[in-house]
Amino acid sequence: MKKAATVRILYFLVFTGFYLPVFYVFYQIFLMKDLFLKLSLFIRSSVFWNTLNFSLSQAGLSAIFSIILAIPGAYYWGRFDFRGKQLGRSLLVLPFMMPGIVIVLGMVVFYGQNGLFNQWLSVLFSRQVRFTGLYSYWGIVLAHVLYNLPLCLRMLSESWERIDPKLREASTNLGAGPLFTGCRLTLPLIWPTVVYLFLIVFVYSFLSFTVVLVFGGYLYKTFEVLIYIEYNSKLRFENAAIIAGLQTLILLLFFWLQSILQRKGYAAKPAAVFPRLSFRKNPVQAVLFYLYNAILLIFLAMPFITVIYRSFLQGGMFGNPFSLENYRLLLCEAFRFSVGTSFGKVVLTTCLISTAAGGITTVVAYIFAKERYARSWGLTDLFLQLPLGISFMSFGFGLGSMTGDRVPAWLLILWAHVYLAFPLVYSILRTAWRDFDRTMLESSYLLGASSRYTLLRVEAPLMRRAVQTAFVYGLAISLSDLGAVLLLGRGEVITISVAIYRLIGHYRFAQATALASIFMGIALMAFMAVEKRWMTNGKGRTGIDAI
Amino acid sequence: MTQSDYYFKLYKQYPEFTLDVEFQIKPGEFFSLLGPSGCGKTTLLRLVAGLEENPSGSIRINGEELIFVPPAARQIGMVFQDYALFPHLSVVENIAYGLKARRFPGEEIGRKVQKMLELFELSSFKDRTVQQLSGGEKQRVALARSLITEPRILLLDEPFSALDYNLRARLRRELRDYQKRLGFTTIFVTHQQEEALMLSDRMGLMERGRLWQIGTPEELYQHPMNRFVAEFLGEANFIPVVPSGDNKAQLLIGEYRVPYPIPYPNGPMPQVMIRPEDIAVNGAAFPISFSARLVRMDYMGHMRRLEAEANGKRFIIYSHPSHCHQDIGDEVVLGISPERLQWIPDATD
Repeated sequence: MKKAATVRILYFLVFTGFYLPVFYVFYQIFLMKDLFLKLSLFIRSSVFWNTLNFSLSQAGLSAIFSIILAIPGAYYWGRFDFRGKQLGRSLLVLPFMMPGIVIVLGMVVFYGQNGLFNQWLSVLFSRQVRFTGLYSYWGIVLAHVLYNLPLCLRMLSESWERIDPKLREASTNLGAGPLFTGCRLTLPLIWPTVVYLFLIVFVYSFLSFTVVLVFGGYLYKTFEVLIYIEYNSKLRFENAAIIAGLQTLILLLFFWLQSILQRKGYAAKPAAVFPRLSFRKNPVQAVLFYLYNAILLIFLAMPFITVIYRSFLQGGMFGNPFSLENYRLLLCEAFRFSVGTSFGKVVLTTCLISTAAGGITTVVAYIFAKERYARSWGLTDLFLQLPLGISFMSFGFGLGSMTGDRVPAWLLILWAHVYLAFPLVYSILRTAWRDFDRTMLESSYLLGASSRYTLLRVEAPLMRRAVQTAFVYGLAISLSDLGAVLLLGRGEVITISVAIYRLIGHYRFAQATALASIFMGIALMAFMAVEKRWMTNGKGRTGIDAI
Repeated sequence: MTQSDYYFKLYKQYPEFTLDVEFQIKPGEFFSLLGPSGCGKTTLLRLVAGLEENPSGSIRINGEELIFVPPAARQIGMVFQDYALFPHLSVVENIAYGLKARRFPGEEIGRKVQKMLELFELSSFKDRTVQQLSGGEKQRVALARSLITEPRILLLDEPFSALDYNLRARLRRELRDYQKRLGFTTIFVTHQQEEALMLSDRMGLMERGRLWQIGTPEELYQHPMNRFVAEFLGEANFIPVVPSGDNKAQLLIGEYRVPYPIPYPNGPMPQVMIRPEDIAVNGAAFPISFSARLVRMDYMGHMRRLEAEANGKRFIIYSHPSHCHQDIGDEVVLGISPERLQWIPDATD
C-alpha cells in the first residue's frame, strides 16, 4: 500500500510538473482580453508567416539532407563488415551528446569567415572561392544536418542490418537485378525507419533554439526563438503566450500526422556475419566507402577538432604558437567581465545543477520504469514521453509566468532540466526493464531474499549499467542546455553553456574554444561511461537505441 | 488428506482461460503437470510459488496454509525454464545465495555449499561465472541453488525445453536420479508427454486451466478419461460401437459390425480407443480381427508406423520392423485383444 501510494504521488507530481505549465499557457490565452482580435492580428502578421515558412522549410530540408547524406553510409555500414565498425558506430553518438552551443562554436571556427574550411578553400582554389553562408538560412540547415546526420546514419544502418541477407538472395534467385531488389525489397523494408527519422529530425529542427539564435540574426527565427525574444527581451508576455499556444497546436497537428504516417517497422535480428569490405574483393565499393567516410569525418569531426586545436593556439588564431593562455584567461578578470561571474562559480553551478537534474530524473524515471515493466507500452508511457514533442520554450514560458518570482531561478532551471531529460532517461530505463529477466528477481525471492536484499544483490548489479547510462544522458542533456538557463535563469544562474554563449557574444572566441574544449572533455568522459555496453540478457544497448 | 500431504486448490481468472484446479501430492513424489502450451501449467506453478498476484484458493503443505505467504517465506524452490542463474555471481555465490539471504552463519554456509558442490559434481567449476557453464552444468547449479535451502517442494518449469535431444535425454535421467537419491518432493511442468511419462511417479493432464486427469503414467496412457487425454499422450485409434443388447456392444468399422461382442458399460459410451501398439498386423488369431489394406508405411528406426484402411476407416499401427514384411497395397488382417480396448465418452466433457 505504502509503495502504491508513493507511486501515485510521484505520478501526480510528474504530471503536474510537466503539464501544468503548458496548461497555464492556454489558461493565459483564454483569459486574454480581445483574444480573437490579437490572435487574428498575429496570424495575419508577416512575423507569423515568415517564422512559419522558415521553420517548416528549414526543418524539412534539414531532415531530407540528413537522411539523403546518411543513405550511402548506411548502405555500407548495414551490409558490410570493416575494421573499426563498432567503434565508429559508437562515436556517432558523440555529436548527439554535445551541447548545441559547442556545435555552433565548432561551426564558427571551422566554417566561419576566418575558419579552417575557408583557409583550405583558398589554398585549393583562389581567394575568390569562399564559404560565406554560415550566418544565413543555409548555415542553419548545415548546422542541423551536422547535428542530426550521425543519428540518421546510425539508425538507418541498423535498420539495413536487420534486413535478412536471405531475402536479397531470394530476390536474386528469382531473377531480380540490384536496382529492382533495391526498389522493391530494400527500400520498402527501411522505409518505416526513413519516415521515423524524417519526423524526428523535422521536430528537432522545427524546435531548434541555440543554432537559430546565433546564426539566424534578425532575419531567421523559429517559434522557440520568437517566444524567447518576446518573453525575455521585449517583455511582451501576451504575444509570447499566443506564439507558445499556436506552436503547441502546430506540433499537435504534426504528431497527429505522424501517427497516421508511421508504420510498424520490419524487425528481424541482424545477421551474425557480414561480408568483409576489402580493396581486393570489391575495390570500387571500398574506395567509394572510404571516400565517404573521409568526407563525413571532415564534415562531422573537423568543427570539434578545430575547436580543440584553436584552444591551444595563442589568441586562438592560426599561425600563432601553441600556448595554454586561453585556459589561463578563463581564471582572469576578463572572464568575469564577459560572463558575469567567475570561472569557478560557473563550473560549480553547472556541476550542481546537472548532477541534481541527472540524479532526480534517473531516480523518478527508474521508479516509473520499474512500476510499469510488466505492462505493455500504453497511454501512460506516451504521457511520460510527450515532453519530447512539446516545445521547450512553451513549457519554459508557462513555467516562468506561472511561478513568477516566487521560485528561485536555480530551482526553475532544475525543474526544466528534469522535464527536458525525462523522456530519454525514461526510455532508456523502460527499455532496460523491458529486457530485464524478471525470473532473476523471482528466483531471489524464492530463495528467501527480502526485497532489500534482492535490490542490493541482484537488481542493482544487473541494472547498474542501464542506470549509469540513463544518468549520464540526463547529465548530458542538463549540461548542454542553453535555452532553459537563458529563459528562466534571470541572469543569476550562469552555466558553462551560457558562459560560452556570452564569450561568443563578446567575440572572445579564444576563451570560448578553451571552455568548449573542457566541455567536450566532460562529454567524452560521459560518452565513455555510456558506451561500455550495459548488460541485459546479453543484449547491449546505448541510450540512442532507446529513442 | 493427512497432515503430511501437499494440497493445492487454486482458482484465478485470466483473459484467456479460468484456472481452476485441485490436486494433492505425496511427500517425495515426482509429480508432473502435462499439457499443451498456454494451458496454464506455468501459471499454476507460479501460483504455487507465490509469484502471481491476487491468488484465491488454498495451498496447504504439512497442514500449513501458504496461499497468502509471500514467496520469500514459503520455502518453495523453483528451477526456471532458463534456470535464472545470476550472471554477475560465480557458481559458488549462486549456490550460497539463498543461505546468505536468510543470514545463515558463514561456517554453515561454507559446509552446506561444499556438500552441494560435491553432490552435484560442481567442485571443479565453483569459481566460474555462469556464462562459462554448459547446459548440463547450469542445470546442476540451478538444482543445487534451489535445494541448498531445503525447500518443502521443488518446482521445475520446463527445464529442458531449450536443450538438444541428446542433452535433454541425459539431463532427464540425471534429474530423476538426483530426485530419487535425495527424495525431494517435486512438481515438474512440461508439454512433452514422453518426458512426463518417463519421469513421473504420478502426473496430471491440463487443458485451458483445467486438470482433466491425475494418475500414474500407465493409468493415464492406458485408461484415459477422454479423447483429449488419449490423444495428447500419444497416437490412438477411436472405433465407434453399437449396442447389441444384453449389455453388449459391437465395434463398427465403416458399415461392418465386428461379430465379437464386448461388454457395454452403463451410460452413453459410443466409442472405444486402442493404442497403435496394441493392434497386431497378422492378427487372424485374435478374438477381434478384420481385414484391411496397408496404405502407408513409415520406418522410424525402432518400429514401423503403418496406416491401414478397413471399410473406409483408417487405423494406425506400430509394428516391430522385423514383424512386418508386407508392402503398401497388401491385404492384412488386423487383430485386437478386447481387454486392450478402452471406453471413451464421445464429447470431451
